[in-house]
Amino acid sequence: MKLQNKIIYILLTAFIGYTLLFSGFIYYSISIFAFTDFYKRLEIRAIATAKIELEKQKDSNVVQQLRQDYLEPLTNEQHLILEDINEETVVNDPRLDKYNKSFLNEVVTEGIGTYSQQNVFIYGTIYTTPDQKNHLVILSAENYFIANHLAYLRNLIFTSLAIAFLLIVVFSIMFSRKIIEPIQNIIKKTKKIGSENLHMRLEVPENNDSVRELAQTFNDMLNRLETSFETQKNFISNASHELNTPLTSIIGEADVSLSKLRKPEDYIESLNAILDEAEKLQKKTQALLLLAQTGFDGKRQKFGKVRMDQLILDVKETVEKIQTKNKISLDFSLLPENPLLLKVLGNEQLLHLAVSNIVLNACKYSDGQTVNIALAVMDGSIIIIVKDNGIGIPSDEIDYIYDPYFRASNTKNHEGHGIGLPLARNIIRIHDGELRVSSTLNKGTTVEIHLPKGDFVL
Amino acid sequence: MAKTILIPTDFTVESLNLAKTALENNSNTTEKLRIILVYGQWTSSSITELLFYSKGQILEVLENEEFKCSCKMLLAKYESIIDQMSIDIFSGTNQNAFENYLEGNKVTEAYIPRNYKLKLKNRNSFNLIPFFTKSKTQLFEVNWNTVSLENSENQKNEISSLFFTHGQIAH
Repeated sequence: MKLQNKIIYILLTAFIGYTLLFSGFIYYSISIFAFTDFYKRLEIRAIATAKIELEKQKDSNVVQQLRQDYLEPLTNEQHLILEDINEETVVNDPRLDKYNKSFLNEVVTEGIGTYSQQNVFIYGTIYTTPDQKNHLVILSAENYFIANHLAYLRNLIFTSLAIAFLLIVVFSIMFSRKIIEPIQNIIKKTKKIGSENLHMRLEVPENNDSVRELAQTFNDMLNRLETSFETQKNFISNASHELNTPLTSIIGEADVSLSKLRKPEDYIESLNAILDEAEKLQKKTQALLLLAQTGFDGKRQKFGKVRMDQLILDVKETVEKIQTKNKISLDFSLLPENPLLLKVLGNEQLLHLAVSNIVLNACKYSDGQTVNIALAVMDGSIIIIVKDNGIGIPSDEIDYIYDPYFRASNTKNHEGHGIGLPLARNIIRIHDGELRVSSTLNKGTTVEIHLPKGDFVL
Repeated sequence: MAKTILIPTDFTVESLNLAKTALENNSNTTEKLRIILVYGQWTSSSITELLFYSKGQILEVLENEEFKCSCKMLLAKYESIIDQMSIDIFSGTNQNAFENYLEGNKVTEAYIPRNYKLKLKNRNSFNLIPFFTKSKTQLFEVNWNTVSLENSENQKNEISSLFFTHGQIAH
């Protein structure tokens, strides 16, 4: 069953059940009230009539006056008084033939009896005069209220039920549409997103409810999908970019050693250097393979304790080997006293790759000026700040810096592939971190890497 | 007994370099430190505003995310020597009020910047430095040079302006 119909049916049953119960109760209690009320009125009349007819006293005139003035005349009111009756034989009296026998018995034994025939209501009682004689008084009248008003009430209830039904149907259809509409929108939009336009995102509604959560969850999923698609697509270019640096130094080292005949120690030294670079190359290949194979499923990567200050020192060393003309200055002035705060749950090679990419970029675009790296901790997250005084990024291009192969318009004089930063961002994302870049053109760029602290205990 | 240090602030990250230098200067003491960051702002003279006066709300408006982050960084670094770090508003009008404030908070040291001018955030704010210079408390002037050659206005509030500054006490 469609969800919309389901909502309509549930609402209909609930509302109609409630209205039926409500109107049934009202109808029932009104009719009960009408019956008892009418018998009360008959009783008053019966006693008043008996008083007038049987007690020929002087104040009977007053009672008659009262009856005429204040008691509303009833339709078809008839009364019958049998004077001085014998309680055993009165039931068989021929004048009482038109009345129900069980009613007469009830009147004789209980003193009071009532019954109704269609619209005619009959009330009987035994009236005792002061001279200790018993008289049978029977009063009958048509109940105008039951005959007309109750029928009117019934009609009224049926009409209002019909109107209520229509209203409820309209209301529940509108309600279910309103509920379903945002979900339908999400479905429509999600259908539009395919592998070729993964950059599209769902609109997140303003109000804070489950639909908003749903849209956000979808967007998060799309984020992950997009990054994973991107890395898959750019794996070869990433790899070649990353592998090129060590290869260049290997080739350079070998070239220099081969340029003329050297002493054995020189060869050992250069071979050691080559070995170092080759090992680095192997590490990078492994890391990139890991990245590609595991996609962005964070759980399948080997995560361990990484001490960020150590990592930054390593990065500094690596970068200084590649970029010899830059001076890198470290600011550890705000390092916390507790070393546990500096540990991140992560993959050391990948983090090394990410940070060294950012520092290398800072060196590359700052033409030999000092590059500053700082490390600080604030509750729960570790912040690495890389600041350079280089060429900066034009403000209208800062939104595109994470696109693979994108290179800002002012980088024409610098060699590069436009892969380092997206790769770094992907790695930071795997570690649930955040990368913030702010820049002023020709003044410098500041990159903040926020990483969540690993929950380690001593 | 704890030592209380009074530091003027303008809620920029860069002004926290004063606090950083003060903490570095005191990092070897055995005493616990109480740091008060103070900002000068007059209270309103309207009775209704005074009725609903809340220091917390005023500070909430003045503080920003980077400033809070940087305060947390300082706390993480010096957590063993900081007993308490608080931000306060001074709203007195004359030197006597300031002396009373110093006495009331048992201030033992104060740090002021030498080459950095504290900015005023709104019309009701006023510069606290003259009060500091005239007061009798022990005063340190701090000098720091920022790494970036030209400081554009928006850079004052980056977290990075707390670093690479090499603050030192001027003599």
